[in-house]
Amino acid sequence: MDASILTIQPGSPEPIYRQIVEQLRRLIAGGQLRAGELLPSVREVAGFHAINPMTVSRAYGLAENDGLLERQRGKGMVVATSDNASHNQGARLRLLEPHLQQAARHAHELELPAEKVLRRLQQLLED
Amino acid sequence: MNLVRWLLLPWWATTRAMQIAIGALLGLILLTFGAIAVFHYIQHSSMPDSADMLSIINLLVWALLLPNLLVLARDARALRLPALEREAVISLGVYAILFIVAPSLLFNPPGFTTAQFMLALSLCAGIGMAYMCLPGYFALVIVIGWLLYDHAGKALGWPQIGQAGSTTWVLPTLILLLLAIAWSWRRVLHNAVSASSYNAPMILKFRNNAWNNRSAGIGNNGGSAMIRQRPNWMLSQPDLRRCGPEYPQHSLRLAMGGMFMPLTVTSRLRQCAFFVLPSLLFVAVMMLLSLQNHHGDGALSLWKAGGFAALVWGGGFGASMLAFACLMQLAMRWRSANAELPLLTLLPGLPAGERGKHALLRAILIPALRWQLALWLVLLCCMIGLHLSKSSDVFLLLTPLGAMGFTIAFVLLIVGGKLPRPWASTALGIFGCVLINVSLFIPALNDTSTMRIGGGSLLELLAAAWIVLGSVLLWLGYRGWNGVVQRRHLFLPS
Amino acid sequence: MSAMIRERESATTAALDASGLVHCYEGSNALCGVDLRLEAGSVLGLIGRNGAGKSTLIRAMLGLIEPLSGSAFVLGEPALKLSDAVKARIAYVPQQPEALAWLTATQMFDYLSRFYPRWDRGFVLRTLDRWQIPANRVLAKLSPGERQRVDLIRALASQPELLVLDEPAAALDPVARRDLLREVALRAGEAGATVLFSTHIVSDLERVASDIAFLHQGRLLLHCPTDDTKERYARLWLPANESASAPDVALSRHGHPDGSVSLVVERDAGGRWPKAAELPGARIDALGLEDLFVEIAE
Repeated sequence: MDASILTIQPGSPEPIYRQIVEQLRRLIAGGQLRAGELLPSVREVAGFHAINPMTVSRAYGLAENDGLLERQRGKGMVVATSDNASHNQGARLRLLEPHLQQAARHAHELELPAEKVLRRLQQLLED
Repeated sequence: MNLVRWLLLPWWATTRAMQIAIGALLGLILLTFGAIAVFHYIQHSSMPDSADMLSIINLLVWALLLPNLLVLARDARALRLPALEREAVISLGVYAILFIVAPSLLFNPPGFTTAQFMLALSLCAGIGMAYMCLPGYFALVIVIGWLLYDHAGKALGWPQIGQAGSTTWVLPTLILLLLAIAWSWRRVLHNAVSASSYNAPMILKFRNNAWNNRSAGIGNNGGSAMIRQRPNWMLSQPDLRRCGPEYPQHSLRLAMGGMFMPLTVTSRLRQCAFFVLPSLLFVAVMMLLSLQNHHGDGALSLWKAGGFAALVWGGGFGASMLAFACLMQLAMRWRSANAELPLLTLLPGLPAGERGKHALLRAILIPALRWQLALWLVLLCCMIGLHLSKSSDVFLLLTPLGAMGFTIAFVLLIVGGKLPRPWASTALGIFGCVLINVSLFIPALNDTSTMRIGGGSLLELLAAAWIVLGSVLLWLGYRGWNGVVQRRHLFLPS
Repeated sequence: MSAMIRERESATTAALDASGLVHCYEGSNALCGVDLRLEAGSVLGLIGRNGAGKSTLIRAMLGLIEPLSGSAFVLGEPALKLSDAVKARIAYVPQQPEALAWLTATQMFDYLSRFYPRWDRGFVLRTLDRWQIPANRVLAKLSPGERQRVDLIRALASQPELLVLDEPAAALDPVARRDLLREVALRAGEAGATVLFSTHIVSDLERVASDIAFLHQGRLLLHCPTDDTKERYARLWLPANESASAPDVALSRHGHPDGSVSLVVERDAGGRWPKAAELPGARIDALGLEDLFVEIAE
């Protein structure tokens, strides 16, 4: 894997370090990053995206705390092997949670009946 | 209504800088007329006649004001404003009627026919226009042409302007000038020449400079624009061998650029040739002309004329121009906050404190004064050779000293951050310039000792003026030195 | 007395330390008492509108102008009296650099290399080549972008510990700008260089700055870590019927024609938004830096 797998959007209201952590979470949950895979070094990411290396190390540190990454001596950061966080369905569902919450709030505001919304969602999922 | 608009159009089309220049020139002309009137009163000499005055006015109006209409017409065409373009052309026609046709119909100076006078005024207008609408180097052709006409023409017995038969050369000259203007302006209209190149018409250059100076908000260096206009072979080559922390003075001179910069030998020779050759040419022309003016006693009059030309050129023009160029350059350096000053402030290895200040002053003053001192020596040699009167000797020797005094005082003021307000500096500069020029022409005037203004003789008045100038410069220099001593470091913009 | 000593000690640790800077040009105030401290190793982006006083602040902090009052220290030394040792450790590129217009890039680098003890000749050659700069043309004849790049090379080649750039990206195209940001980011990360740069291109700032300082009309409105800024400030919108209960303390306040108001509010120490955010109809919008600055500066 190299640094190009990440996309950085400086203009977004989300801080860059959070963008990196969330992307790593999605990539690992989605299986694009496999356990034990080596991550690009802080320098590579910072150089590729022209961002401050301190931001990248902060993101890696947070991801490590969340159990997404592990530090391997002499190698650098690798994707954590323990499957406590990433692979089960519950964890993946948790990633969808904010979007579902938002959809639910909008549905409330528009005063739509629950069954109509659920039917539409089902349609979308089956497509 | 429309007529007023047509009359004002050239003024509106003129850049602010040029408007100021025209205003200053008007002031100077009024002053000159005043001075002439005073001399007239003193010496009971003849006033200049109306024909001469009209010619000069035509020359100035067509040089300073009206070429702007051509630029306006060009811009109007580029902006697709045909009405404005038409108005510019009409305005030009109105001015031609007002300044050429009308005077020649109304006045009839003695010795002129109406047609001859109109032709003479047209020639003046053409010369003025050509000066602005042709590349800068044509100015030299015009000046030399004028000199030739004025001196050699007389000697060879050409009919003077206004005399019978003068039409034979005035008319072709006028046609030639108009053709040259048309050729040059055609190139401008076809975008064949850029305003920044050295062979652009003068009017475009003036505009370009005015625009450059205004557009650069944080104090344009000015030097950049000047270097950009020069072709590569005319750029001076710096001598980089002896710079670095071991050679603070040399390094500082390199950072000051322009006339302060140490040059390679070939570049220095080229620079000297650039200044000396035109001076020699001027001296040679003067010598030749004098030879034709005074037949007989060739060698002596030759020497006198040549020596006198060298005096005027070197002592007056040379010394004051050198001082002016040096000070303008320095003032520009100390005005711009984004050029050499921050670089030098943060450059490690330059001497600090008192030693640094002395090194900087030496780096500036030595190159600036070196050439002025050389001119002073030339002046001294010429003077000894010419055997002039004692009083004119003194005043002649004072002129380059005055320029040197200006240089030293204002260098201290600029570097010390104590520059007086622009109007005060300008006023002092004009005063000094007038004084230097008057002192320079003392030898040319006969019996200066008997000329009286009010109670005292002219010489006494002149001496008093020199004393005033000297004390003002001394005071300014002292003020500047105080500033130099007090400043935390010398690279603070003033 | 002890306070003075403590102050002196703190000055030695900061790369740049200015307090109470006041300056004015021709009667108009450019700086009205600015305190700004730049810790070693940080990348501070100074942002503000045109004429906010960014350049003046930078010049005063480096001792390039003498402020009317206030003090400035550079790497622990008073800015107006820097020693050669400190000067060799700092580099500054002014806005629209014009220095030494009569030299070619090669000549300028030759000249300056003799003064800087850690001059990196290899970097100069590589970068001149990479940025495609005609090294043998007189600087006055380069385009503004090329001129700016020459000065950036000049600044980086001396391997400074403190790099100060005034609007470095103004004349650069997007590719060159990205290249410069990369260079700045990596220098800060690896060589541990401290960087101060001013800009009005917010996306540049968000990429590389670890801290931001916002200068508005000669005053420093906020100075905090970049990441925190986005999380700490947000826009609170209140409908017309609730506009009376808007919090008193806000960075900016705009009334709208329909009676609603929007305010820029800050989280409290516990990370909570002001109470008004929970009113019915109230809305909190997260802001990108650009929106935040437009809200504050308008």
